[in-house]
Amino acid sequence: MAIELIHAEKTYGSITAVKDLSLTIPDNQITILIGPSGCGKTTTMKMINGLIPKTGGDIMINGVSVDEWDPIQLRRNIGYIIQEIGLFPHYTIFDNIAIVPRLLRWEEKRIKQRVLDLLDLVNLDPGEFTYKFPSQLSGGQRQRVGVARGLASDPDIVLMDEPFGAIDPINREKIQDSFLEIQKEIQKTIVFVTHDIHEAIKLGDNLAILDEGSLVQFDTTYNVVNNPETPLVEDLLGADRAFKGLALLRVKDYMKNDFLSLAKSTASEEALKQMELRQSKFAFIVDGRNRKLQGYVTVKSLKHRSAGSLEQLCKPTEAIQPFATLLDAMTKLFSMGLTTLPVVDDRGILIGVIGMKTILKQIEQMAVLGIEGD
Amino acid sequence: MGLFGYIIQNPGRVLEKLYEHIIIFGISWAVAVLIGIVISIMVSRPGVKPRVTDTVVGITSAAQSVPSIAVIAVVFLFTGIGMVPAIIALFLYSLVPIIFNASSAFKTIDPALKEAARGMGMSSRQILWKVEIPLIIPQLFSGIRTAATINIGTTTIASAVGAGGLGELIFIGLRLINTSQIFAGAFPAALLAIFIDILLSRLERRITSEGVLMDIEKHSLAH
Repeated sequence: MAIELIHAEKTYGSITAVKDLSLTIPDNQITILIGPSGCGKTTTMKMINGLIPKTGGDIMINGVSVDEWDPIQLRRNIGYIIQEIGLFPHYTIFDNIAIVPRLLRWEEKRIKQRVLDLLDLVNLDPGEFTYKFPSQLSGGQRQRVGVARGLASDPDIVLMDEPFGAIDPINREKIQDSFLEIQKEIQKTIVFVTHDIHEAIKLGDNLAILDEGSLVQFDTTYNVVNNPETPLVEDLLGADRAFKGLALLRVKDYMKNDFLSLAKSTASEEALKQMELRQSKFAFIVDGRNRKLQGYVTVKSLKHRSAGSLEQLCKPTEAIQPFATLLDAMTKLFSMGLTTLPVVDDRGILIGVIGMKTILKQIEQMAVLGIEGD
Repeated sequence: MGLFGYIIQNPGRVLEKLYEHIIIFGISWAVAVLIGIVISIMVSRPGVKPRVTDTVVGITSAAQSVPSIAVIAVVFLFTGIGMVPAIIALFLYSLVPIIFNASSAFKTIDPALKEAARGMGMSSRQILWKVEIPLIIPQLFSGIRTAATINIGTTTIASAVGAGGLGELIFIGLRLINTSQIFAGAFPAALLAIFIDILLSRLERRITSEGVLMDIEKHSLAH
């Protein structure tokens, strides 16, 4: 395991910030440290890269105690992502991302390639952003640069200290989704500090809940949400935790592929025939060549006007991405007044459907689990 | 006799006094810049208690209102007359705006920036040279420029303790009620001050990061 805390402790004089904390952070996953303010979550994170020196116990990084690491070398080997305010205002975006590779004395050619790749990874157009300064970017864009900077040297471990806390709610959702997609690709061991339970449930593979410097519960997010072990954890999750539970289920794991899709060139008689055969009231229309979602048609509309191609009858529809949560899907379904939502990948290709029924079934299951014992 | 009469009739003497003036100003100011920056860096290091920094900022802030003639007079009491006492007095007087501006600028750097730098594995020295100093260039220069302008002006007063310089022409001119001689001292001193300030402002613009300028502009718009 990349990070292991063994009875780790931090005291300031007579005040104990973190006491007897033992925690093995699972590799290649996102582990969230969460708890009320003053619970020791930030202290715990900063003890990992030595920004705050521990006063007791031990912390092993890749099997070596932090005491044996040269703190500067240790930090260059651990990604560090904080709020966008941490970008250097006097450096261009390029120079900001290049900081750690330059500290590590990479060749300039390699650094350039890496920076361009990273801008691409965080969805910022290198042509537009490379030579701008942080003050020319929006908060969300700056935060993406912050993520790129933390990943610059391709470290195995990344520490994230409330990175998205200062961003407005709409952009925060977006950057969280992007971040999950990035993590799927890069599979880093991430320790993420937040005080936002929604964010924790959405991003975390595991939750470590701290209170007054001690570990209260540590488990997979699913288990924590369904089995809060103490009243504090229950409070943290809130009364609506059955709904919150939806935020930890991904559309990709619940979507179905029992849908009917027709190429837009299909003749309407043929389409009607197929829909009746499948007893489907509607069908999704895709581009015959690249399978990109175009919209949908209903049996009703086809019967009204049986002549003509499907392309003319096709109505546009909202879609959802596989990494979105069931909570996102439900919100979309409600606001659109639909019963079924198409699922499309990054390129817009139809890969499945998610229905209201599926979601309701999940709520029911969680409610049963959750209410138990109340 | 016109305003330029003395200069035209005694170019050698005016140049000699200008030369002395530049020497007194140059030495006292350059040493003040160097030592002022060093002191500001020292009092702003992470190990130093904030109270020490605050005290330094407080003292220099108060010292700015001490009249230059008083400093010269006090130094004169201890060291006697001549060029060296003048240089010492002017050095002390120039230190004040440099330390005040630089150390208060160090204090205003967002701690999150320094922590980000540390968290990425920068050494203290790298943080100083790559983060802190580039960020305080505008305030640092404001101190250095103020010191230069004040220093050139005050050097004329230093003639009162026998240091030489353009002030000598002014004082003698005053006693003789010779306008042209007063002018021969005042005019080159003013030119010198303007020239040095333009030079420093060029240098400042050259070494300030564009990003810092944008940041300052953005903040001044926000307030």
